[in-house]
Amino acid sequence: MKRRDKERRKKRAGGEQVPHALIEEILERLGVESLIRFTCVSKQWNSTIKSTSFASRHLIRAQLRDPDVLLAGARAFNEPGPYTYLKKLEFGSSELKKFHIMPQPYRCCAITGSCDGLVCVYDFERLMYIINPATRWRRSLPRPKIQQIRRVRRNLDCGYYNTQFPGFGKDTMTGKYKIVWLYNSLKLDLDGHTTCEVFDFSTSTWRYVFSSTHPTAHASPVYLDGSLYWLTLQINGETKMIYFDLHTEVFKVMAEIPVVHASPCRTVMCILSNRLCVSEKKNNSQDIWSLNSHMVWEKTYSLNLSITSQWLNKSNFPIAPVTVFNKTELLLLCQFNPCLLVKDNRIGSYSLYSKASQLDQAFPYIPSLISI
Amino acid sequence: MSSNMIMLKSSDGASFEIEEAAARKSKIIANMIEVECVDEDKAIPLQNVTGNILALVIEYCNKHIVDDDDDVATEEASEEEEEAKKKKVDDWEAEFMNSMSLETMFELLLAANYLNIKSLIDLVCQTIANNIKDKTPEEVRKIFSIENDFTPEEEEEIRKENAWAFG
Repeated sequence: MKRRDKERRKKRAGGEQVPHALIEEILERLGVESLIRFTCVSKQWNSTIKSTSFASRHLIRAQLRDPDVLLAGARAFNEPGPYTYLKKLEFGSSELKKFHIMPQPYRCCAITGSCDGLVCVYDFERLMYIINPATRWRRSLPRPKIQQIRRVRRNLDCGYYNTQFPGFGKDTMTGKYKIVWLYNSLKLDLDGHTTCEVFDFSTSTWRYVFSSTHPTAHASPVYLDGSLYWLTLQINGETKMIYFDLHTEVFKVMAEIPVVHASPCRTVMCILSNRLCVSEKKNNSQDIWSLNSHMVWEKTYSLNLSITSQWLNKSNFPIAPVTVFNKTELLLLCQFNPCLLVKDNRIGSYSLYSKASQLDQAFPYIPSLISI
Repeated sequence: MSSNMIMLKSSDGASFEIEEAAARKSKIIANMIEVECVDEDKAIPLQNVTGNILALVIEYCNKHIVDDDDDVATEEASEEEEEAKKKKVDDWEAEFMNSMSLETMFELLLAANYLNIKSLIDLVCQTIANNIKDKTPEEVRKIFSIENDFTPEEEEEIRKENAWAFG
């Protein structure tokens, strides 16, 4: 009986003779949800899908495709009010899918940019998690000093403009992930200009590192290739860009930026097609510059704000580029009249992708199997 | 372009004539040609590939010789031309795979693996992945002839842990 069963199986598919190496090749090309479901196919599939080496190979392949987008919104970053939402957007559908993977109460209100499909979700006084939105894995992190200080000082004057945001990235030499929270201590009446805390996942502790002397602007730092980047406040009429090498843990100043005379509140930083970009809002246009491999800034995109104004109220704030998809389409986030726009660079047309209230942040992320 | 023809012989004795440039898509055959163990009058025997599968492999290789030879030329070609060309190849590949049963795909995958044709392995793996992505674990076990070696309790545990993925 058993033997006949085996023979029948052999007939049904060539599967039995497929070497496991080839099965892994097939699995590497599947999305995270399918893979999680297939962990119960067999013990061998289970251990393959859960292995870190498979997760890295899966990530490398996933990075070749367009990323998904993670969206976060809250009433205001500074309010201790409840967590509002975390949503995701998959291209090909204009539906923003809401998902709750945080424990009750949903209080987190901001996210960092993503690295390898992981993202840090936090508020300014109590909570900090590192999560993988695709697998729904999460890890709670201890509080950095800045959250403790802010909590104590909640009733003191902590205006909107002295909010600085943490950044998340990877030391590409060692593969270790780090969270870096650089903040301007002068507004907090601490000595020195800025303070920098780094979270080490191996020891699960925050530590101070030698900081930059330039106070940073009110914006999330961006991560690219082992470094985090910030724009500074304007001093003597100049805006600078500083960056932190996550391996050497040293801050440096970028030699040249095209937005040196722009006010930080009119500028925005982002990563497009694996390049560091800066953009400055002018009266009717917004140029986006990207840093090429020869470390030269090139004007890569230009937004026509007289066309986009049909969806937006008049605002001094720049439009935030989010990501490039389908090779030529640029996803744009307008924070102050919350909506997502798409510019098709091939034909120069603009369209409304989605409208959502209280949309503060949108970052591309690669759905991965990575956890720390 | 060289128009040298070589002969390939399948495990069930069918012979196929193929341009050398196309046959070189297979690292194994390219290697045999390099070390000159190919006798011009003799067919190369491929013990692990049946005639119907070898015919598919040859169809694929014939379709893909041109783009490799054009590598130098394409650098000059405009982005649009390149895009159009890539689309044509993509369309052909989609059509090529579309007519195939899963069973044939597995046989083609094994042949591509044996003959070491990287781009064909990629194509077949991607097609199989697209085919199974929405399937249940039970269906996947059937397709790959995998025996479920979990106890019902163990399986239930995994399903409970990630209930959202089984919706």
